[in-house]
Order: sequence, then structure tokens, then C-alpha cells
Amino acid sequence: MTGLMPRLGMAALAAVGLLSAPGAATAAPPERALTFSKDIAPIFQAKCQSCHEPGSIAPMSLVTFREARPWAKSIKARVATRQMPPWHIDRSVGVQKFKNDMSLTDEQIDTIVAWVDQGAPEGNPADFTAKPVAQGLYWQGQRDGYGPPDLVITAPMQTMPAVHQDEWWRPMQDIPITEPRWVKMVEIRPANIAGRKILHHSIAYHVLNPDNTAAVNTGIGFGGRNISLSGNANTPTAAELVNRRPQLMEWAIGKGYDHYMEGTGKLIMPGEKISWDQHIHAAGEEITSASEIGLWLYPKGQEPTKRSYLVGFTGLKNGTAGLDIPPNSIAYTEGFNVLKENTLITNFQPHFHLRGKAMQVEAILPDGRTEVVSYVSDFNFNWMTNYIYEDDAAPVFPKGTLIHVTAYYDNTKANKSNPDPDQWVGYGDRTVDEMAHAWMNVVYLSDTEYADLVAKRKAQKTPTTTARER
Amino acid sequence: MASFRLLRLALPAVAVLALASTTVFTQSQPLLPSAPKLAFGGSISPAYDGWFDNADGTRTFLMGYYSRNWQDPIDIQVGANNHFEPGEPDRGQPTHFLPNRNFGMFTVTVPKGSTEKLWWVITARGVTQRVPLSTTPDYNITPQHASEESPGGKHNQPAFLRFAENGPKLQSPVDSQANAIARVAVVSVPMALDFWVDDDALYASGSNAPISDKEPIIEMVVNQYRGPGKVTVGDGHHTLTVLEGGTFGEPYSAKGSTTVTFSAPGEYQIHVTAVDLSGPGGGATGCCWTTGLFRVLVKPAAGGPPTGAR
Repeated sequence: MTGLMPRLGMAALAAVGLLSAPGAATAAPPERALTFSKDIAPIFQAKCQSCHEPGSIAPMSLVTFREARPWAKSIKARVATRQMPPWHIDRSVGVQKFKNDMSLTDEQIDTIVAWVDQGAPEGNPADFTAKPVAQGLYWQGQRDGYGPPDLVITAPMQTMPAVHQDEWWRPMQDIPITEPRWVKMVEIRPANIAGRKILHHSIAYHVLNPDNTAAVNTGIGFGGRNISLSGNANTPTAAELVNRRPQLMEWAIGKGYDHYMEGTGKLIMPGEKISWDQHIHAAGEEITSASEIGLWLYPKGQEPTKRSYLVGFTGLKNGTAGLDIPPNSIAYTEGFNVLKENTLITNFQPHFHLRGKAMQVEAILPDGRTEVVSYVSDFNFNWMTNYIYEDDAAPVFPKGTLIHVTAYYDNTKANKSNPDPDQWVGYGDRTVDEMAHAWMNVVYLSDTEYADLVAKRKAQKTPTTTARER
Repeated sequence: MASFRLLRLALPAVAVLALASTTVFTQSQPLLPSAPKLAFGGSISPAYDGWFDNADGTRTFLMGYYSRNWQDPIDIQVGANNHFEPGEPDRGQPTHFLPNRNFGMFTVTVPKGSTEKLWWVITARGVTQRVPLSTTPDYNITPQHASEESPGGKHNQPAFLRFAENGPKLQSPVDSQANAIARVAVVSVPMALDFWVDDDALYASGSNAPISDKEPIIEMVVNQYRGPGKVTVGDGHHTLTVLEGGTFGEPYSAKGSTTVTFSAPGEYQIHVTAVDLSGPGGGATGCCWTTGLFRVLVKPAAGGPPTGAR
């Protein structure tokens, strides 16, 4: 059985073969002698330990020298190619300022590579200062300094057999609040450590109070046929809006949290519910687990003035029936999405299944100019990383802009996640089927707000890679 | 009352005689990435849709295909351009390929313990595509039990389908060729086709949101699967009469009828499928629909030429 964690392990074991992969760091190693205790452990503690410690998501711990040393060559290969830490956004194009950048600096990579090339010595154990190991589950948002969530809602436990078709568990739960509150950050995680092996994705749909239908996004239209993601271009009735049930959050394996732009958020109201859509993938052992969502709330009196909407920008212009990935091939699709409002885009999270390879989001402005928003060139199914833009770097576009999503698929044996490159692959919800969309949180601006923001940024000459590129 | 939808059948049925072709394009053509799907002239990929084990120890593989034609069907006879390998080339696959994605069109069952890896190979419009029948656990499916929870935690199951009021009930993604119902028909004379269907009327949606009450609980789909001529479905009486239920989540029973008319003599196979609220192919999740097979021997019209004559 090929579960999610075994894929991680296999990828790690295969890493030695990637030593000469294109894109590897080539800077000259530092000349001084490097040791684990003095030079490497601080890097690992800062950028690697949250996953590579006992009980966490990674298949091996890198906390101590004894634990890390056997993996030295693999570590070199993985960091030199920037597969690890899992920050796969291209560094040469698109937005480059992020709230949650976990990547290594070039200097850190050079240090690790040089340490391995020097024989990966331990050095003086007295130089090593241990960082406390977290026990069990953790909230990534808490680790990143936002404190614990104000509200946690845990779905009922259910059991997945060792070998079984993918399942979708869909219980509903109350949101336990007694007055309207604004959410500034959300995170979903498996409810126990074992659940990390089987939880492919989890969506917390927002079952709305009829007074909260403004939570439904209506500002995006799709080119081609509509598909069943948020943002239908129709003009719905109030009752239909209630039944739209927007996503409070979408989570997929490897994702952390959604952190909305300052002054924006999602409103939750008494009487509302969460309707879970948990996609479960068998992992070769019977596992009982569930999802849970953590909500960080704005303090009372600091309510935001703008709503943030989660949108799945499609990469399939011809709808689901148009996805055609022949056996042993590279394929691509594209999708066009119309911004009907002036729009700020605050993050990027590409979503594929096992054959996903790369995704580009590009804006085609009303005057015909194009701007690359973000490009993930080396997608890894096990890491649906969410790239959260710094507020002053979040791109803003006028109404009428097209968001063009290009999705690339690798259905060859070169793709380590591919369960069978001999199969034809089409659209579907199963892990072995494929899909392509860019999850992005957006904020809409009035014409005046848009003009003011553009003028403000122009005055500040906010540098972005996109601007430099142009 | 649920409707018997014939819209998506009508165009292919009308066009089939003019455009169906068994022409073999021997010149190999590249399959360009993201090339547009064509109205006609596109190729076909076999599609492997999953496997499941049976109580007797045998293993069944569910197969479909993807046609890069959005309008016209293609006919490819069993042989060099449409075969299984190794061994028996005819494993019950279609020879009449409908447009677009068609999930779970037939099954191949192998004996208990069989380890031989079978491949389905199709050459259409100069493009050869082959896929294996794989036993990787990732492709395990449960075609008689929905993998998606319905509202309230229930699980949808395929409809029961009968072709006589007190006849045997089918509940299977696709009935076996061995169980195909034999019929005799005459060219140009409509053959009556009656069916009864029972369903749990359960649906699933990602957010558990209610679905439109305009959605038919059961959609009956009748298609040509094999045969030498044009097949026309329907005679103007395309409705299901509800016998019980009619609202979501309540037991549902209905009966209906249509006709099938054949343009030329020969042996045909007809697919009759009850598609429930999970949609065609169960939305590619492997559940829940039931397909019955008819094997029809079509004789020449009285006074007409014998089979095979010019």
C-alpha cells in the first residue's frame, strides 16, 4: 500500500540520486571547518526541526548528530535542489515577499553542502544546544508566533481500513460562538499524529447564517464552463447564496494556515456550522482520525472592514471533461478566470494530485500587459505549501483582469509520486485522478480604494520581482 | 417524476451512420499536449478505472475510455486496433466508442490468484494508446458502496435495475457479457425496451448542501455498444413513471420504456444504464450506477436482403 508517509520516506531515500540535479546550488563552500554542533544544528533547529523531530510529520528526526549523520548525503541533495524545506516557489519570477517563508538562504545551503563535503563531522558536543522537542501535535501558526488558536473545532473520529478506496467523510458541527466574530487566521490539521498518514485534504465549508450571505464570493467568473468551485458568475437568490457554503478553509497535505491580510478576515455568526469534506486515502494500516480547525479571532473592537474570500482559480478552461493526460507523457492545461472587481490577491497555493508538476498564475491586464503572479516549478504532492504574500507585496489588479492559470503534469516514471505512469489520467476526486486549481485568498476594492492603493504603492515604489522583471 | 434524458444520445445516434468509420489510419500521429478536443477525427485512450475483489476470490477490473471527440462516435472492431494482450483479444470491450470521457463501461474478471498483467490497446486516427489493468492499491474501488458520505452519514448504493416487472434485479456497475439478455429484432422495426428501477435516492455533495430538486433521481441512458449499423433510441415516450417516492433520501421506484431501432442486420450489443444522483461514472469515484447488457440479433426486414448481402 502506498500511503502518504511512505511516499515521503521513499522520496527521502531516493534523494541520493539527485545529487547532480539541475538547479543545485553551486556557490563555493566556506573554507573554514564546519561542524554539526556549531554550524548545522542552529540551521536545522530554525528551518527543519519542526518537521524533523520525533513524532512529527517527517520520516526521520534531524534533532541530534546521531540522528542526522546517516542522512547527510540525502540532506545535501534535498537542500541543494531546494526540495527541502518544502518551499518550491520559483525565486526568479513573481511575488517574492512572504509572511511564512521557510526556505533556506543561499548561505545556509552553502553551509550545509560544505559540511557534508567535509565529511559531516559532529565537532565539539559542547557547542550543541538542544532546542526543545514539541510533543505530539502542534499548530503551525503557534510555532510561527501567533499563539494558540482562540477556537478549536474537532470533527468526529472515523476509521479508514488499511486497503480501501479513497473516502470522503462529511460530518457537520456547530461553530460554538454566541456573538459575531471576525477570523484573522485559520489552520486545519489532522486530529492526531496517525491522521497525517491518511488525510489528503480537508475543507471546512461554512454553513451560513442567512444574515451572513456576504461571505459568498461573487467576484470571480470563469472562462469556459463553470465548475463547482467557489465563484459562480450567476446572480443567485439569498437562499441560493446560503446554500453556496463557502470554504472557511481548504487544507491539503503539507499546508499550514491561511493568514488574511491585515484589516481583512471572515465573519462567523451564531448558529452557523462547519460542514467537513475530508478526503481520506488508505495508508496500508487501519487508522482512526479526523480533522480539526483552529480559528484565530480579531479582538473585539478591532473588527476588519473587508472580507477575504477563498477562490479556486481553475486551470481547466474546458472544464473537467477536458483534462487529458496520456500515459508516460508531460501534459499541460490552462484556465482563464475573470476578475469582476478590483482585486488584491494575498496568497498562492497550487493544488494537484499525484501527477502535478508545476503551476503558473499570470495576470492578463485589461490593456493586454501580462504579469506573472507566482510560479511553482517543482510541485510536490506531499507539500501543498501555501505561499502567503506580505501585505505590501500582495498584487492588486483592476476589474476586467484575467487570471490565467497554467498547470503542468508529469505522468512519467520520473515523477516519484506517480503510482503508475502507464495509466491514462483524467479529472476526478480520487488521489489517482487529477485536478488543477490555484487556491488564492482575495480582497475586493472599490474603484476609489483601488486608485488610492495604486497611488500609494507608486509613491512608495514598492519593489516586486514582477516589477523588476518588467 | 424523473425524466428519461435522451438529449445526449440523440446527436450521436443521428450522426453515427454518416460518420462512423472503421477506417484505419496507419500513419502514426503525435499526440500533442493540450491539443483541443475535436468534433471528429480525434483519437481514443483506454482508461483504467479501478479494481475490486469478489466474494469468490476472483478480481474484477473496471474499464472505460477517453475519446478526444466531443461530438462523434467512432467504431473500431476488435482486432489489431482494439484488443487485449496477452491472450484473448476480446474481453468484452466496446467497438462503438461514444464521445468524451466514459467511465466504467465494462469489466474484466480474472481468476483467483491470477498474476498475468493485461493491457487494453486501442489505435484510433493513427494514435496507439495502451493501459494496463493494474492492481496497485491506489486504484482499489467499491462500486457498490459510495465512498462519499451523503448528508446524515449514509452511503449511496447503485440502483436496482430490472427488464421485466418480476425479473431479476441487477445491481452492478456493468453486468457480465454472459448475463446479456438475448433479443431478436428486425431492421427498421422499433424494438420495445421496458425497465423498472429502484433506488435509495441518496446524493452526495462536497459541502452537504442541498441539490436542486430539478435533478432527476434516476437518469436512464441507452447506448449502442457494438454492432454494424446505426442505432436510434426513442420513439417519443421518454419519461419514467414514478411508482414510489420521488424526494431525495426516500426509497424510489419507477418504470419506463423506450424503443431501439436498428438500421442494418447483424449482431448488436446495447448498454442500458440507470444513473443515480451520483452522476455518470459516479463522478469518477466508481459508484453508483447499474448497467444491463442486451445482445440483439437483428434480421433483415421482410422482403429485404439477407444478412451480409449487398
